[in-house]
Amino acid sequence: MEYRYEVGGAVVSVRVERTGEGYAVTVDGQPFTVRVPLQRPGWLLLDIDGQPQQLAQVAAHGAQRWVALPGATAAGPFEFAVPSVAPRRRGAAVGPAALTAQMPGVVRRVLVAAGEAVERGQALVLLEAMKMEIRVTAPQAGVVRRVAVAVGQAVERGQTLIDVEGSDPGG
Amino acid sequence: MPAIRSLLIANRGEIAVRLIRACRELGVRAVAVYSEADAGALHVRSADQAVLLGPAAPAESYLNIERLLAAARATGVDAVHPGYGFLSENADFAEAVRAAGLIFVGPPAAAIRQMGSKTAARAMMQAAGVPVVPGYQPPPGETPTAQAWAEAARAIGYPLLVKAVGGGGGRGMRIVAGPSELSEALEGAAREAASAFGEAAVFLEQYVPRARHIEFQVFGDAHGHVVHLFERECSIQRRYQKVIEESPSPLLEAHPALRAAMSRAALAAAQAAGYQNAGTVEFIVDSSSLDFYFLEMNTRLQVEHPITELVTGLDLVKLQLSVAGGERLPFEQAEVNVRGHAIECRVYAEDPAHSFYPSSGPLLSFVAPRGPGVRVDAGFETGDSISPHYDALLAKISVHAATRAEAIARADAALASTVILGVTTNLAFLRALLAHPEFMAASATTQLIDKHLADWQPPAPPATALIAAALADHLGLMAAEGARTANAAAPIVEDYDPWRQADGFRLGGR
Repeated sequence: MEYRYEVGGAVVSVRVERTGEGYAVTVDGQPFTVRVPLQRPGWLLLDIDGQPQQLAQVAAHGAQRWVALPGATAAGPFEFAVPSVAPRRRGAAVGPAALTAQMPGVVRRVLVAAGEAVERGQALVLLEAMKMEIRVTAPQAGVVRRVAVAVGQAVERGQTLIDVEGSDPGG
Repeated sequence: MPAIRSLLIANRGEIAVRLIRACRELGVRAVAVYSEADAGALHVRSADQAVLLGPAAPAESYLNIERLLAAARATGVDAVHPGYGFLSENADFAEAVRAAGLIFVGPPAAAIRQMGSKTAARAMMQAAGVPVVPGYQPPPGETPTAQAWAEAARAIGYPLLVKAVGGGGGRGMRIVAGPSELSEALEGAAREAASAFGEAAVFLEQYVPRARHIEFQVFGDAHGHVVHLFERECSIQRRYQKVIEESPSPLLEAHPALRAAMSRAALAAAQAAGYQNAGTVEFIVDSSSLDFYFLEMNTRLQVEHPITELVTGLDLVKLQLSVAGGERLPFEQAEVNVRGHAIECRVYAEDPAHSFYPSSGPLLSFVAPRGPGVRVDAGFETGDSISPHYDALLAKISVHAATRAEAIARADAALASTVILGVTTNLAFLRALLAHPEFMAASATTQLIDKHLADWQPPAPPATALIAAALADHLGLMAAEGARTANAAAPIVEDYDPWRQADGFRLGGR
């Protein structure tokens, strides 16, 4: 089985094969012999290449994965995401751009309406969380196709706020 | 005044839980209040009774004086504790509580009001002989001309600070490097102050370079007895928000005469304010000249009170309740001693790698550190949610050890064994701070984070973390929302028997 995780912008492939004693695991091609002497929901004990065993606490929320290695020099917690199947479009792509919340918070103001033309850099939504205010601005000139949130609504990180369709092929 | 037998806790999160704990020990009935966003929160579960205040917005709940008083009446409590933040430094609230015939666990309203105005506090401290940062405040009712401001600024010298009279927490504050930036800073600070505090008045203060933040815990009773419970050093800050605090202060350990002078000034400040109950006199110290200046007085229990409790062995909350009930302080100044060294690390739900944006979401797993000399004050447990509506403080991890070096090692080990999954926190950042050479050498100033750790990035996950994730996904072990992990209060694996584990776990060997 192959598992893929997005770590700091790069996608890492982890292959897991059952062997007699445990598992043969390869992380980006590097092989490890792993046994799991103990496991329960939420955690597992790892014996990797015969090194002293390490406790790992694990959790998942949507595509997010969380791992803590309590007591280790680099204990984390480490957070990574299971990449979506379709590769993300980056840069000056023309077409609907979904503007998402950079942090969880509450929508304080929606400054545009569907059908409205916007300039690049124009503030579209004001988000507030824990006394901080964040402006969500248009990444390109275009037309607002859809406003997906309302004032007072709580939003999560990554949630779509507004769709803007680009009118500027140069991006 | 009669002893307090029931207490309304006008707060939430870890401080509410801390106050409920003290009530338990004293046999005091604890009444919690909560907003719709906090239904079922730990402080609600822990209290004897809980009253819903209203919607999540603080103005509709934790800041709503009328609703808090209604909750106090409905539950028949005889006292109200404001905690910190929210209404804790609101003189009107203290007055309203007392006008309702209840005990307000805190200082007299007049002391709160006087200390709430930075300029009134400065004037009072100057009169009491407590050094304040050299500065310029326009006489009341007067609007200085641009030229008058410029002359005052020149007399103080650059760089300097423009501060809001009604300000706090760094809002309405500007650092001005030179004359060309002055007018813009005055206007900007006034604008920010007007919107944040409803008062546009600003004043000038000399900028103290290489500053250390050192504060004294003071305590007064209703019988004119005021003591100090030594100091806390809180130089590790980001945007005037404290991150790591310790007691005693390493700087004052090295300079006992400075400690003596500062503790005298702290007592003079408390006496000048007619202070009762717990308060904190904050100073900044120029680490090269060792000159110290009054910064402000916080008229409430501080977030970082646990480290004072650890080194003095006193319970500040119990003292607050006893003094508020009219009791005398049960000890003299000479009986207060400091033993060992304590460090508090504030675990915030924030992302240090991304501009310290606050984070929120379900707490999929929270395993607090344990062991000798480790104290955890948390407002949450596994299965709770971190709401975007309130302060980002998730937990305080405090340690106590014989020496500073041991305390640092203990704090690092405690942080390394803390597990928080589901919400991004500053855990790894706190460890980087503890390991920073300037912190280790006890030479850090309030600039440490801005100067040396502004671009900090978390360590990349080791292969072990990726192996753990893949195997957990493979075996279906990931803790998820709604589930409780094995370390939580209610384990969900009932029929587990390690002796029957197929993977061959053997006790005492591999």
